[in-house]
Amino acid sequence: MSKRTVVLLFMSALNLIVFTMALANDENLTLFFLMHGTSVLVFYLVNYYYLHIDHREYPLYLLICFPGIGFTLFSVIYLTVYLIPSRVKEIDQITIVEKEDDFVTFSFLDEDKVLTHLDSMNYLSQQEKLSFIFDVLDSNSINKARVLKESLMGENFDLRYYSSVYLSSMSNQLEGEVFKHKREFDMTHDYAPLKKLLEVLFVYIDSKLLEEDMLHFYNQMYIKYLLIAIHQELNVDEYQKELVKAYIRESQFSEAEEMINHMEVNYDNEMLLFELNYSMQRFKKTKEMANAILEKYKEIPVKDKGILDYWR
Amino acid sequence: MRVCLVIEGAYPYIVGGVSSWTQNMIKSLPDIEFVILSIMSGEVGEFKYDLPENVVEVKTVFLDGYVKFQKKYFVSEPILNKNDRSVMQELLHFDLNVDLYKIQDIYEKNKRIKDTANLTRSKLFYNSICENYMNKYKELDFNKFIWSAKGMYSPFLQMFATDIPEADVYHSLSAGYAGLIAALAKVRYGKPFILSEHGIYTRERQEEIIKASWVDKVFKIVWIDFFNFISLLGYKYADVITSLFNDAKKLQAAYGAESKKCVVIQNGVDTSKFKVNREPHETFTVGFITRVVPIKDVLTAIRAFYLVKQKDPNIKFLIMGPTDEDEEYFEQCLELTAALGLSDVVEFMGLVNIRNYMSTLDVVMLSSVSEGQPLVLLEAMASGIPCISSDVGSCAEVLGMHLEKKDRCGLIFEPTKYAELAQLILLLRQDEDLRLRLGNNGADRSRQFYDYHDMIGKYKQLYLLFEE
Repeated sequence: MSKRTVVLLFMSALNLIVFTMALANDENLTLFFLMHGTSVLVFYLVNYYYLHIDHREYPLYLLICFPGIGFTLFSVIYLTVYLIPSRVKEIDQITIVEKEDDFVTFSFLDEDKVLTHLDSMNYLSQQEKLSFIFDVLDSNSINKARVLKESLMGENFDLRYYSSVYLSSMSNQLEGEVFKHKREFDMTHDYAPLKKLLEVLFVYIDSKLLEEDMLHFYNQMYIKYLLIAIHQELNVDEYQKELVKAYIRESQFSEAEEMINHMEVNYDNEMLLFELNYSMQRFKKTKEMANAILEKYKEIPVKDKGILDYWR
Repeated sequence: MRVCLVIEGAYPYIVGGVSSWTQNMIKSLPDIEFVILSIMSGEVGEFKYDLPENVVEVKTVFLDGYVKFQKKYFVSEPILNKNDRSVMQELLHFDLNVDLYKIQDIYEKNKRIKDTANLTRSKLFYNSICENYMNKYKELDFNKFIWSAKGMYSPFLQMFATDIPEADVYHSLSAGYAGLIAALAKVRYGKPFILSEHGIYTRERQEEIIKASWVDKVFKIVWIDFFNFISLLGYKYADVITSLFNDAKKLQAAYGAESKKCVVIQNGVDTSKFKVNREPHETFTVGFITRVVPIKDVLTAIRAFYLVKQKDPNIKFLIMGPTDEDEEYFEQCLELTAALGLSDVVEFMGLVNIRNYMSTLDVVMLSSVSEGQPLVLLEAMASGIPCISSDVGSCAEVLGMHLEKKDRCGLIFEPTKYAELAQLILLLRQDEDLRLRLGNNGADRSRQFYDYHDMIGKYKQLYLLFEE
């Protein structure tokens, strides 16, 4: 074997090691480079020793020393087959959501965060997963249930386990509190348990844990106790606003409109009325009305424009 | 041959899946004598099972047994040489390299150490806990840490001083304290140790601690480390580790069990006892055979029943199983049932002989958030009843969800998703052909893959293997 061949072999081996080490975290690429390098070497040796073909020309040098050719080819295939379609899928999802909502352009930053975090869960150690669960459970984020629900859909065996256990535990705890305060209020008719009951109902309805008729059941319970609170003239502003929202969620638009009209007479908080009216039109899917309200929004003095409390 | 079954928080004091499994296994192996070492805490009532004749002894070990020692005013520091101190330090540092044989020697030659109070109030203990604190938990409140550590170590150290009955084989039915005692028995008597897990102990404790209100948030990680450690000690000293299904086996390996020791022995049912003739009945009946406890997520089932009732009020739901294990949860179930106006269609039947009801059930369902390989599914399948289950543990595998649709024995939904469960109940209500097909497939599959005699045969084989 000539010195040049030895150098070529040495360089190709070095190249292989460097690439393999650099990409050691990706099994597919590592495997690819090992296969690629091995086949090149076998090819060269077979040619040299058995077929007596001396490949010490320029093309062979490229073949051996630049597994980068293979890498480029592999990258092209990998990008075409895996990465680009998944990217397109992601864009599609966002586009669909945008199409569904004719009224405002949402920032999808929150969604991105949730997905990214969940994706990364698959790579966390047991200890890190536990920390994640602690963080999620301790947070007051409205995404708490959503994060857990998303992870329930994933394939991570452990994470599915934790998510189901904690989703169940969250529902049970909230439901337990609802009935506890309801019982107390029904017995004592005091404001304190009523206030707590309304708070817990708000959290439960807002938690994304309720579905279909169960959401309807708790919404109706919420409406019932909000009306009691308003009737007793307790924290009227806040509860009336909540009542309108609950009516809208239940598609009881005439009751909602009646309450908004009542509020228009009694309150001068234009921003609040705008928000409620706009929410209702969005629910009713009356685009023209919603846009008209948005136009009116421009007339509201700047000092009253707060950050929009997005409809939950 | 004498086998010592080491069981934590179950047989013969508490009714449940593991306890029934134990009772049946003992009955099925009349040639073998069994000693029961039951690990309990607090007050224990009477035995909930009639002990088979081949049970020769029941010994109860109390996790809170150390309390009587704690009341002592004067304590005597155990006298240990330098080597022994370093071995004890390894144990107190949750160091997996600790050699239980050396610990056994220390306990044999030193009487003082057998009194837990002598150890937990010793300088050795204090210094070790301080080192632990400095190395791993420096951010925690030291005062709380040291008291928390005493509560954690006391029952653990008490186990080392426990009298363990002699037997030819030690078989613990979980990791944790049961695994630890069986490991100590192996070290003490030089006998083989089989560790069987129906669930995964480490994870069950983690889940319990994360939810627990009795542990400060910052100390939860310390308790989790502790339970990991005692489970791993069990794994380390076990000769064979069994689990019920493949995912559980993988999980055991992921938690640190040596893969070559792990084997899967599936649950089984005596299919001949569950051959039933369907009895005609007027109301479509859904059976939920379960203990009424949070892990079975009975509330999710009740929410689903509510959705079902909105669409079809002519369906009856029977919840069959003990209700006294978590009375607060049972109250919550009753309250929700009443609030949703379901009292006329949902019946809590308490503990019943389910075989008497199998002929009148149209569907058997399960909404647990955590399961191993539930016997109720196997029993329902053997009875030819279609099943609906949450996708937890090996439920999907049991129901043959990996098979083609025509060969499956049930339907699966994501845990906690009661709307999905309601849809599946309504689907089975409407589609008689589907019910029939799933039921027949279930009967075939249970006979083929989940035969009780196969399972018992495998355990017997294991015992005999070690006897030789």
